Amino acid sequence: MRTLQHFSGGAVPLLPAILRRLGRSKAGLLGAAIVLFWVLAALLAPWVAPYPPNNLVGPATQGPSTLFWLGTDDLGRDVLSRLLWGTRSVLLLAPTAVLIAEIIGAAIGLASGYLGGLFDQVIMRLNDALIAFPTILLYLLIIAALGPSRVNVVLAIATASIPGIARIVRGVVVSLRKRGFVLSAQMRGESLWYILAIELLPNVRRPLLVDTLLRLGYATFSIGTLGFLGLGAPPPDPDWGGMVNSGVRWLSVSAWMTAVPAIALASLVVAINLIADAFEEGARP
Amino acid sequence: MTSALVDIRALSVDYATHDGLLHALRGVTLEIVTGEVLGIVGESGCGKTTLGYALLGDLGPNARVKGVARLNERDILAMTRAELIAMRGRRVAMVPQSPGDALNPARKIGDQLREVLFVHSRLKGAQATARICSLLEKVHIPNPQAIMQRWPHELSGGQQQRLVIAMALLGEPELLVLDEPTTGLDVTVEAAVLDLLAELRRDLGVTIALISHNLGAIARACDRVIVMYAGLIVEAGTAAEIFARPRHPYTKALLECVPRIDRARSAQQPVPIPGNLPNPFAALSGCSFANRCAYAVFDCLAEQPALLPISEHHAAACIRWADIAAEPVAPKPGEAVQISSTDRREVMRIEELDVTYHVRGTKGGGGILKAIDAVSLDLAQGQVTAIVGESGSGKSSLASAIAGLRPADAGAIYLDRKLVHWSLRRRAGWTRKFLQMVFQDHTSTLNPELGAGRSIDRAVRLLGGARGSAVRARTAELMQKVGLDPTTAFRKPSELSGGQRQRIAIARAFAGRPELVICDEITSALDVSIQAQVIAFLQSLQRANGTSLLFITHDLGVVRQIADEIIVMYLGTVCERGPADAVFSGPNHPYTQALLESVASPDPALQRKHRPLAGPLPDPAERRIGCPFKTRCPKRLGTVCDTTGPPLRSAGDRHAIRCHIPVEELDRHWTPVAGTHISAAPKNGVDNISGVIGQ
Amino acid sequence: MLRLTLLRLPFFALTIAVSSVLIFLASEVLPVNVGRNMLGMFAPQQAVDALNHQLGTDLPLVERYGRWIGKAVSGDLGNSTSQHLPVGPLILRRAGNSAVLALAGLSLILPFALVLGTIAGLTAGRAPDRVISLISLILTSTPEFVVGVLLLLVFAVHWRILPGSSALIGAASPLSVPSKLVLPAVTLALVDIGYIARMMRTSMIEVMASPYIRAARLRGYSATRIVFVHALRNALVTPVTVIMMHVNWLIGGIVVIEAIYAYPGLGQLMLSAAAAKDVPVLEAGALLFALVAAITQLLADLLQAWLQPRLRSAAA
Repeated sequence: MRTLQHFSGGAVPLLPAILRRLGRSKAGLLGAAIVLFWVLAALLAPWVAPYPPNNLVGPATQGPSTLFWLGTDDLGRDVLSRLLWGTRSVLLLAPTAVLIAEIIGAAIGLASGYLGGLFDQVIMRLNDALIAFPTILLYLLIIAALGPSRVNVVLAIATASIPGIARIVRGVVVSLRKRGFVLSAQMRGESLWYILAIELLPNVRRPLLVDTLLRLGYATFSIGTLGFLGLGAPPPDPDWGGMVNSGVRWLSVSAWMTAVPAIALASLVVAINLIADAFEEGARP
Repeated sequence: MTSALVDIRALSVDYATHDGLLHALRGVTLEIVTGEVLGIVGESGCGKTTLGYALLGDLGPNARVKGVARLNERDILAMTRAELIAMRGRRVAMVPQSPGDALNPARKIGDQLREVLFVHSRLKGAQATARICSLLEKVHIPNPQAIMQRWPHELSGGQQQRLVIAMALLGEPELLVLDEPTTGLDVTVEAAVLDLLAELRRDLGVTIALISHNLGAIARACDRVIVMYAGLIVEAGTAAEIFARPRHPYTKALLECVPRIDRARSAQQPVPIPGNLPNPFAALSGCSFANRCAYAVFDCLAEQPALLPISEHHAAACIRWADIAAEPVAPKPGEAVQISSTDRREVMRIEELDVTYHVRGTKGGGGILKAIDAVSLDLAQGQVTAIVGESGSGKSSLASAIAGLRPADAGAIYLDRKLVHWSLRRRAGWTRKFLQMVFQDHTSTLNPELGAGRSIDRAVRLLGGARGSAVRARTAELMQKVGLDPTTAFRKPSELSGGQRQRIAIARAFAGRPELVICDEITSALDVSIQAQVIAFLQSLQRANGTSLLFITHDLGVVRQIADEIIVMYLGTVCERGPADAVFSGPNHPYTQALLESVASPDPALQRKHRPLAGPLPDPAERRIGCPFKTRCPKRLGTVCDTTGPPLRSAGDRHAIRCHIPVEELDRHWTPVAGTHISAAPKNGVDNISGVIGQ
Repeated sequence: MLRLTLLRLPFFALTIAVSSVLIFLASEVLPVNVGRNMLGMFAPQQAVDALNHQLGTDLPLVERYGRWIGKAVSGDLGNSTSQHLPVGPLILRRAGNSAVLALAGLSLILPFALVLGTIAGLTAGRAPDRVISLISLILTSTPEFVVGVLLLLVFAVHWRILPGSSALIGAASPLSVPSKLVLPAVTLALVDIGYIARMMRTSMIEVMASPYIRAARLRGYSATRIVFVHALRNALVTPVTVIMMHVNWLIGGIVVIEAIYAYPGLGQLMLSAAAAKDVPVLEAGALLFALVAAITQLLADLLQAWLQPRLRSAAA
């Protein structure tokens, strides 16, 4: 039995709590620093990048030199500039896909979990089937069908993420729908919208936040992978995954054009996961 | 002089937490004598559980410990890891709270029992099995061989409790520590467990430390009692002394607010203890109880009093203990019970209500189980009706069905003489203003993410028709009516105590001035003094508004305090109903009688002879034929009980009993039996009435 | 247990059915003219139409789905439009290679991940845990292709001790040239070890905090006994089921790894089929993947029920 019946430290508003939790963890701060670095790179790319990313500006497959700090790629484009510009692509697509998925997934989960019945059963079976379906195949099929483009990448990732999110939200809602505060809302005649939006949604916030952070990492990961498989943004636009792909066959000649975007991508995903981890650790009492 | 098995000196335990240093125990000194049953009683936050775990040396890595706890000359708190492992189970054993949690869900019971025996005495094979079976029989678990093949989740709460006790005894410990062994158990099961403890003490000579907040259980089972408050012992003495002549204001206040079934409603009123517990993160200045004490004087604020001796076996930590001696425990008188007369307006009526659910039988059979079987009852305006029963009685299903939260499969529900649909969603708007409910679980009755007062605001707006600033005003008014500062409305529920949350739920229920409020076990999870507070406010709101209450509970003491009328349920049927005083004085249905006898009263002198209810529950299919109580009734007549449903017989004005036995032959209510304390309980609980000293 | 299996089967069938519909619909959206693809750009339109009619590509959607499923169930999966070979045997051979890779990877992942995760869980908060957790996090965050590329760089380019490409001649089995299996398997393993170790760690921490473990400690059981007899079995439940459902991810990783190393598995086949818009191969391959995923999910469910007796008596 908790001894703090009368004196428990209270729950505090969400945002300051997040920041405080992050602050407590060194790893979390490191992650935040790395993400911040890349965000700045993305924002400042037009001014900081030494060359336009798609122009042939030098001899191909060169290593680092004073002119080209990170070397050139197989067509003679500056790796550093392509790296910086490529940041914009990744940092735009991943959050967009995750945001869309979270909104739609949460809506589905809320409705399905609360309304129950046949509607819920059907949705859940469809959900399970989608989750069981191998993600990469889903990406493959969608992009093969619709063609590689930025929009389709977002679409593919969002579609693959929605079932998982819906399942999490539904799980939370199902555990809450027989609780006293929900029954009380029903007994005083609250409308469906009120119950879903005001009573249930705030309770879904916390697990959803953790999931969003993790999914951001996974989406970034996937964007890289799709780029690598040639299913991402079409050339010549700089895409980190695509850059690795085109560089693989030149590994023995110059590793820089491949290793640089590879490590950059890894660092970003690691950073996001460090943040997610720090947040989750801090969330536990 | 009997030796001290355990000798604790100046034990203080602090926990290092995120929010600071939590003072769980602030300097406790006590002895546990070999062969005794010591009761450690107190409410949440008093430190009794910490004390229990200290006896096993299991205080956790963030505990800062001072003082000693000697077990036969060796200090438990200074033991090495190896010594602790050797001691636990073999010299001191613990039965933790929630027996089901103590069992590994993925291993069969037999395996777990064998493991205990093997670890402690290296016994294996047939010898081990024999020893286990004999111990299982000792704790009255029927069919030990079969049970050993089962999984933990297949056992009932009572059986799990016995099992865990058996496991603790397999190591043949000198000291058995039990942490809240009766919490969550039905009254009759609780009585059986307490009997078992007495037997074990007598037969095996084991010393017992019983930690509980249940004053009745302590009174029944213990020789000596220590009362704890805010991490300190405030009173220590024999059970008889403590309960009859408490010398510390806290003990006295506690005894005054415990609901008792042997006092009519007109003779007792819930009297909450004012004020709050001291902050466990702060050091104490002065007496820990001073801020709530009716006897506090200036000197009390100077320092925490030591335990001052009163007699050879009685000590209290109060400088005014002599003055308290002069005033016996005297609960405040309450209102007399109202007998509802026929010209009062009917507020609610149900006829032949059925609630069924499908159940999986134990061998793949099973079928339809009726949670409620053709139940009819009515409620008049302003009346308080209590529905009493144990788990499986259907009382909560009844509450849910009337509220519209659970489907009824047959029967009719009338509110204000109008037929309403069983489903809340299909009921007209006026029913929401008419009928409200307060729920059992105080941790989930308020939305954890919203301000505590938000739902009151909504209720005021939707049901009370207020707008704008009037809403705020009305909410504040309601909160004051339940004794809460209106600014509490802006805090999150997690910052509030259980009692505060429940009071908000009550305020919310009364926001629209309903005609009927259903209370479903609203105080079951609360401490005694908090319960008194909640009940007090509930009563005041009910009386002020003339609202009818349907009060669901298993606690007969609370029933005695607040009910006008009582309905006793067993396995989905009503077995007795009548005005409160009539039901408590008798004659009674055999089940009601068993219930009344099982209730442990916080008065050791007042222990009843009770018959443990033996026998299995009837199969779902068989339940509907004859009397549902047929398999366990100690007064079973014969085959008529098996074949024919018993008739409803009148036993007085508005008092009805559903039994084949004619009313004249049913015993009058129990009579307080002097001197049959647990230490003199008969060997296997089956009694013969001869030898009972009547009133 | 048997009853539980039977109860699960309808859902399994439903999952397969839904998957097949999804696959079919996706490939229907492909702007593909099957007849044209097979006969080439210069064939006369008449011939193309005739072939299309013969193949049944001009029938209504539902009918085509029915035909496809019907044929698939009886083993006829059509012919690849890009390689002009029967799809069935092609897919099975490639799938076999992928399976070899997956098993090789799993045999590396499981022992390391479970042991490291257990150690991390038992020493939670202390040095061993911090190290293991950090490494796990880095590994799990690093995309397969990054790990693959870096490994290639080190072992195939820089030190030249392992082959950089795992392409095989003809229909040779990967086991015939084990050195070609090493890098792909290690890459696969590295990424997943992190994920599963973290799962195991969390599970271990949860189990060690549960009341029955505390009760066991209070009974004077030694730490060894508590961990091995009580904690592990319960701690393994979640990771094991996660591992089985992880097949989903494994399949993804396999596709990427086969792409990096040119390993002749089903994943690489799917990629080239996607590029060539080879519908029969895409459909059949996807169906096979989905089937494997659904089977493992079914097994995961059953395994979970077996490990948690409480779930056995509960309904489906």
